Parts: sequence; structure tokens; C-alpha cells
Amino acid sequence: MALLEVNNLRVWDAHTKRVIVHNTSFTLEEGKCLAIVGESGSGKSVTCRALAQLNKKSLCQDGEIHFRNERLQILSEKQMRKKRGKNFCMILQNGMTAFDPSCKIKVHLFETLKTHLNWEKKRSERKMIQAMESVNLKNAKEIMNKYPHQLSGGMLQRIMIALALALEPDIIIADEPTTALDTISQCEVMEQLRKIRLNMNCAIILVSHDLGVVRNIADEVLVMKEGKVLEKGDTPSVFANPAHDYTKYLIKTRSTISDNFIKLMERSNLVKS
Amino acid sequence: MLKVDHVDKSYNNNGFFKSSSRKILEDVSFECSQGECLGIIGESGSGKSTLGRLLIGIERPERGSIMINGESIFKRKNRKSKISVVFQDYRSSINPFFTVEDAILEPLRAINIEENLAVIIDKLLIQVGLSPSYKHKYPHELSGGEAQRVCIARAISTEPSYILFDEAISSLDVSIQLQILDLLKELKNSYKMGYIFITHDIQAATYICDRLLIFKDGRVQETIPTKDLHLVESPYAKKLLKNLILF
Repeated sequence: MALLEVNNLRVWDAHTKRVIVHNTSFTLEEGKCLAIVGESGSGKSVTCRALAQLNKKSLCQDGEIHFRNERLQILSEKQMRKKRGKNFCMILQNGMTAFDPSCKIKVHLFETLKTHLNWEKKRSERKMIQAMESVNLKNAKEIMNKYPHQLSGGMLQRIMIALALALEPDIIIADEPTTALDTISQCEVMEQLRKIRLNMNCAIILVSHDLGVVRNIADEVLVMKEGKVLEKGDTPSVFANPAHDYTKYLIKTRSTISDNFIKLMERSNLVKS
Repeated sequence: MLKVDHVDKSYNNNGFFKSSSRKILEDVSFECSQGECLGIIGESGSGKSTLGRLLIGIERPERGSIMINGESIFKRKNRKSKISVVFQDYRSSINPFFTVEDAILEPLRAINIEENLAVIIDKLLIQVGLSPSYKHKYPHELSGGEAQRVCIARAISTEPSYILFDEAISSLDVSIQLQILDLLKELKNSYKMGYIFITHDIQAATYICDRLLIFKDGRVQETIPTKDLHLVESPYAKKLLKNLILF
């Protein structure tokens, strides 16, 4: 049985009647990683938010989303709210704006843990420190007492991942988790995501336009363009034999940039490709 | 010739009880010759954007000097139409009340050129790969790649000797990144401009730059020609290369 099953998901703008996501269907098995690839404006983020029913009111959606054989659309907002966080956890693109700027990080963290797991402060703190240490954040206690603007983007991104670790969700929806980060933090964040998968066997939906990242972690790839799914399949086979011209184009542009780099590096043993 | 000589910069941290100053740049020196493309690579928070602001003369260092063709960059007269900049955030770098035409004309009006402006605009737009019909559009009607092209057209309009790119391609899609990089290569050949390319993306930097400057915690770790990148010596540069997620 699939963990998540999406059938004919369609999202459109209520005012202009413009369809943003056309009949999209996919399934996600327990513990697998599905990547959604596409350029900006291809509807990948909207698809993700539609899964958690977090799109703005002006966007309507229909189609069926089954989570463990439970239809998500018929749930009330209150029931859905319980699902988010506990069953779905979102890691957003921009760490800088994902936290409340007017209060300390820990207020947000404890509130989330209290709502979903009903932990008291002591326990939340202990668990959070553990989780933050596992994502390489030293001085976890000190960090929790800071405001979001005092921390860098990479740190906030890792705090979001730490929170996901503590919540132990069934599905992590990571919407461009590495785009805003520099090279070293990118590598660390990917390492953490891989670790979460191993340790907790949770499924990941990864949205990215960086094919390097996708190839690194995903089991399956879904290529989207203008709201339509053009291609889906196992990561190695899609990258080796792309069927659609658009996928070929994406792969070609990416490899043009890195080929030059790899050529430079071939002479050394610094990079093992 | 752009010459940066022993530059220091720190910002005051006005605390509630005591104010302290935080050093952002420490003893930074490098040169960039005419027509060269220099990449400045560093992680976020390493002070590369601060360095960028010093290079275009909108902030002053505490110590040291920055010279362009032998004259100080901090005099408005000396830097006028010699250096331009393209920023990362393409959404906020064009005035939303300006059309594309107004935006590109702004620097040209400032230097009072006599030629026919309408002709120049069309030429610039074609050069950056946009159709001249774009000149009546407003910034919100443009996609990210198009807006960045308009910013580049604006930057090259005064034919400067240097253009500074502060993470100019980082927020674009990979396929658009490649288009912009190819465009920049082309423009460099026709205008003989120098580029200073600030980025955290070492792969994109190797695609376009002749020389790379690796920057960490406000200090220059290493300067190396791109073709010798595999010979880097500093531990930080090695770590940077090791941590890359390759395609």
C-alpha cells in the first residue's frame, strides 16, 4: 500500500480560471524519496502546498489525495492542522522568513512540539537539543535563545530540519531546501536529509531545480513543466535515457556548466566523481 | 585597472549596554586588470557583499584604498560611468514605477549623452537577447531571467570598464543561468569589460572566470587562475571543493 497517493490533482486560480497544475498523479511509497524537478513557474511548489492543503484561498483544487487510505479533502481544517506537522512536515525554501521575527526561535519550536506531541517545556528542550546536535548545530541552547535575524540562512534551514527530526513525521516535504544556501551548507543539509531517511524511514518529497541535488538523493523523479508532468521514473533511468526533450534540455544545460568544472578537476584526486 | 590595497572594514554593533565593532573585512588586497573576469567565492556571511559595496564606492573602508585606473573610487567623478553593478534580487533592483525603457535610460541621462536614445535602447535590448517591444513593459511583467537581462542592459549602457555581479545568477534556474552566463561571455568579447563576479557557486564561477579569489571570514584565502583550480593549497578551498554536489 502506498503511503501517499495523488490522483488527478488539479489546481486553478478561482478568479482568472487559469489552471496552474494539470491532472497530476503520483504515488509515494513508505521510506522513498520522490523529487519534483522543473523551472520556476512550473507549478512544483503549488503541487507541494496542495498536498498539505496550504495554498491560498484564491487557489482551488480538486482530485484525490489519499494518505494511508484516508481522503484528505474531506477532513476539516482542524483535523488537517493536526496532520500537518505530525504526518507532513514542510521544510521551506527561505529559512529567513519561515520563523516569526518577533520572538525567539525556541518559542516557535516549543509551540509546535506542544501542539503536535503535547510535550512540556523540559522535554521539548531536551529533544530539540538532541535534534539540533544531530544536524551539527553546536550550542543548541544558545541558538534557541536567539531571534531569527541573528542567525544565518543555513542555520535556520538546519533548525527547520531539526524540528522535522523531533516531530518524526511520515512525509517530509522539502521545497527547495538547498537553493538559498552556499556550497558547504548545501552539502550538510543533504547529508542530514539522507540521515533522516535512514534513521526514521520517512518518505521525502524533494522539490528542486538543481539536478545535482536530485540525482544525489532521489529514488524517483517527476519532471514538470507549465503545470504538466512530462516524465516520471527511476532517477538513474531518467538521467541516463531522458525520454522527453525538455528533460534532455534540463540535463544538457546543467552538464554544460559542470563539465567545464569536472574537466578542470579531473587531474586531481580532490573530487571523486 | 582596479586595485584594492589593504582594505579593512568593520561595522558597529550598537548593543543596549555596550557597543562593539565587528570586523567584516581584514587586509584585503587584489587587482583586476582591464578585460579580466575575476570570481570572488565565499560562503554566506564571509563579507563578499560588503566587499562588493566597497568596490562600487557606495561605502568607505576604514583603512586602505581602492583605485580605478590610478584614481580613488570614492570620488564620484572618478567612478562615473566606469563601474556598474548587477544585484542578486532582480525583483527589487528595478523601480516598479519605471518601464524597461526608463530603467535603462536612467544611467544614460545621468551622463548627458547626445546620441539618439531610442536607437541605443533598441540596440541594448537586442544585445541582451530581448526584443525591442519589451521597452514599454513594467518590471512585474517580466520573468526572473528577463528582469536580470534588463539589469544587465542597464549596467552595460554606459559602457563601463568594470561590472560587478553580486550573486547575479544565484536565484535563477540552472537553464536560465547558462543563458545569462553565455550572454555575459559574449558581451565581454564585444565590449572588453572587466567582470567581478561575486558568488557562492564555484561551478558557475569556473564557467566564466579567468581567476578565482577564495574568500573566508573577511580574508582572502587564496587567489588562483581557474585552470589551476585543482592545485589549491589552503585547507578551506580544499574543503569547498570536496563538499560540492556534482552533477
